[in-house]
Amino acid sequence: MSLIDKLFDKTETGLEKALDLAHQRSQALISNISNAETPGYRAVDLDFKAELARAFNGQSGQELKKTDPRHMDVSSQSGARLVADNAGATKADGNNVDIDIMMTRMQQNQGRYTDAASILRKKLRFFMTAIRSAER
Amino acid sequence: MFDASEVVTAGLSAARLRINIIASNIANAETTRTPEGGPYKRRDIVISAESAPTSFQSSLDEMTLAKPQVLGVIADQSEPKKAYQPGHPDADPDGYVAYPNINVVQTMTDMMAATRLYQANVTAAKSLMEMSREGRRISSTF
Repeated sequence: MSLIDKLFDKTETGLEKALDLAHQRSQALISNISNAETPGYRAVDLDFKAELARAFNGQSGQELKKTDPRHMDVSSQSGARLVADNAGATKADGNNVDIDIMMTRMQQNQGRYTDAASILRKKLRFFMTAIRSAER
Repeated sequence: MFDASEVVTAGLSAARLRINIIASNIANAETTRTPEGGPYKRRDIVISAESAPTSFQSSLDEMTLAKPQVLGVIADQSEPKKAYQPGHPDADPDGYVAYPNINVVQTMTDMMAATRLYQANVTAAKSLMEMSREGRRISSTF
């Protein structure tokens, strides 16, 4: 185990992934909000819990067999998967965005991002304390 | 994949254009004379969801983001409303004046919906800004 591995445990990886996922989910939700009146647009979302679990377990679910070392790694290339979202009813113009659901989800998602960011900040502050204490 | 800021900007601009067009329809609900002749024709906006240009990455993804794109503004071609006003300078030989086919009450509710959509986009943009500020604060620890 290298020094870096000792410094950064699973918590940082989890927090980093949570930040990344919250950011990606915000993009999906913003796309839904912006297209709330676009005829034919179908809502998308990202399964935060499933994607986070996937990141922790290292299961990509999309693993492709590599027969050559130069083959691209799909799981590392592809970001979190966007899924079709059917929470809202489809309107006459084929659009199924429920703006109220999207606004609440965005609030919730932003809260997750803020929480993950502040915990990460606190963890990093521990390191700084450890490093700075040697200066004295 | 589009950037979220790109999507929300397109959303804001489409929502604002919709508000402008609805305002024009309300203001001209009684306009009987236009440069192109005849009464004012109700304007409508055509929006389509534009998906990001197909790349190798996007073809791997199941769903991608889309941004609203204004295809154009169209004029309503339905028959104008006729009102019997023989003394009116725009009356036809039978004494009928052609008024725009605009239901003001319905247009006002459309305006409220459009305003709400614009506000939703503003909230989305604010949330995006808040998140990037929060992200930058992580690095300010050092």
